[in-house]
Amino acid sequence: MHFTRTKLAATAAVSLLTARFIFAGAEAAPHARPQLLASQTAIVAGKPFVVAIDFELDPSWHVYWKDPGDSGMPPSVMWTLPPGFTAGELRFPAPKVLKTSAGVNYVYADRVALLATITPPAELKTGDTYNVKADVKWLECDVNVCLPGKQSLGTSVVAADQASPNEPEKFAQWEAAVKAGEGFDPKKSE
Amino acid sequence: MKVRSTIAFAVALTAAVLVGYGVAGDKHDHGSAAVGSVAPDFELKDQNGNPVKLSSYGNNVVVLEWFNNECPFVKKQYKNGDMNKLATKYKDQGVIWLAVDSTGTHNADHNKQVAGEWSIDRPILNDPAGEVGHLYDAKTTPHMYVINKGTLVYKGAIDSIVSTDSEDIAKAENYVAKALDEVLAGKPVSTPETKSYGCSVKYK
Repeated sequence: MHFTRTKLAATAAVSLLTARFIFAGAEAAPHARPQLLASQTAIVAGKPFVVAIDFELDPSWHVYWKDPGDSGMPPSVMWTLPPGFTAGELRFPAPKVLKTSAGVNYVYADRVALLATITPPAELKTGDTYNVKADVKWLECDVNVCLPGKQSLGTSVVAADQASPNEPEKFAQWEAAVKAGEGFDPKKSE
Repeated sequence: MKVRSTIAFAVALTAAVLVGYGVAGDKHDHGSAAVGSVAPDFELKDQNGNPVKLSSYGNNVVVLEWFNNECPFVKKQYKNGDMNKLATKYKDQGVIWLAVDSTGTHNADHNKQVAGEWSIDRPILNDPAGEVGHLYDAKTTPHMYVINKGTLVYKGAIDSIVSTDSEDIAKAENYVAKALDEVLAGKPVSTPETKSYGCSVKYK
């Protein structure tokens, strides 16, 4: 019993030592958790809708604005959409200004939703389901360390004659935040 | 004519000395290492405890690489040995390549182990107080500097693709290689400054 426990402790210690120097890390980035949400459950042909990448962050961790500042990297998305669908650029709310002795960064803590407008083609088959896939990459940092994050997210919408909204209050809030952030000027923030 | 150039030289020298002193005396005043100016001298110990003094390399071309093994942008350059290959290629042409670690929590033993794990045969200089990092206004890891005969001729990113993926390296333009090729060919550096990318330097 005693022997087993010591051996376990020794193994754990060695694993820790090894883990410190491995190159990987993209697979395990547990400090920012993104979710993909569509602003509508039912969409109409030719009528744009919005999708949100909603990041939930652990305390003291941050992700970056589209201009990260002196270091860091903004989140990016590679969309996989049904034929005829197009995605607009990511839209960001105003960031927080983080100053350290290494410079200035523009970041988000706690929670942030990045938005993109998706435009379906002029013709859809009513009743069909359409899948939106987002391969999201980001950099998450705290004061000591940065980790790359990567996740494939998906959601689906159904084509209908009338749109039906999904989480309208959340999306209204997020749109307002993005709109308010349009005027954010890093030069004036310093 | 001769007098004028001597005066100009004396003025330049005085300015360089003043700039050097001014910044070394006040570590909160960032940004002394300007492209086209004298690269500030420093002395630090490497991972084996050996002192390394920049000015001792005289007329050699020197590369400074801000380093932190825990940063994914640094790992990107080492995962497939790219940074080592680059350093070895230019070492064969007489270039001195020094990594500098200004991470507040790293010591020589840490980087001795990293050097072993990552097959780094170059000095990794320890700057836990961050003085040299601030002297050079190093903002990221990596943050790259090329010094030719004591003058800073390149400051910025390692390459042109901002990512943590090693697969992007082959597609990117390597600004350090470009600057070194130009310097070694006796040409001026065509891209002397770029915006560096990476993790923030984790100063103490």
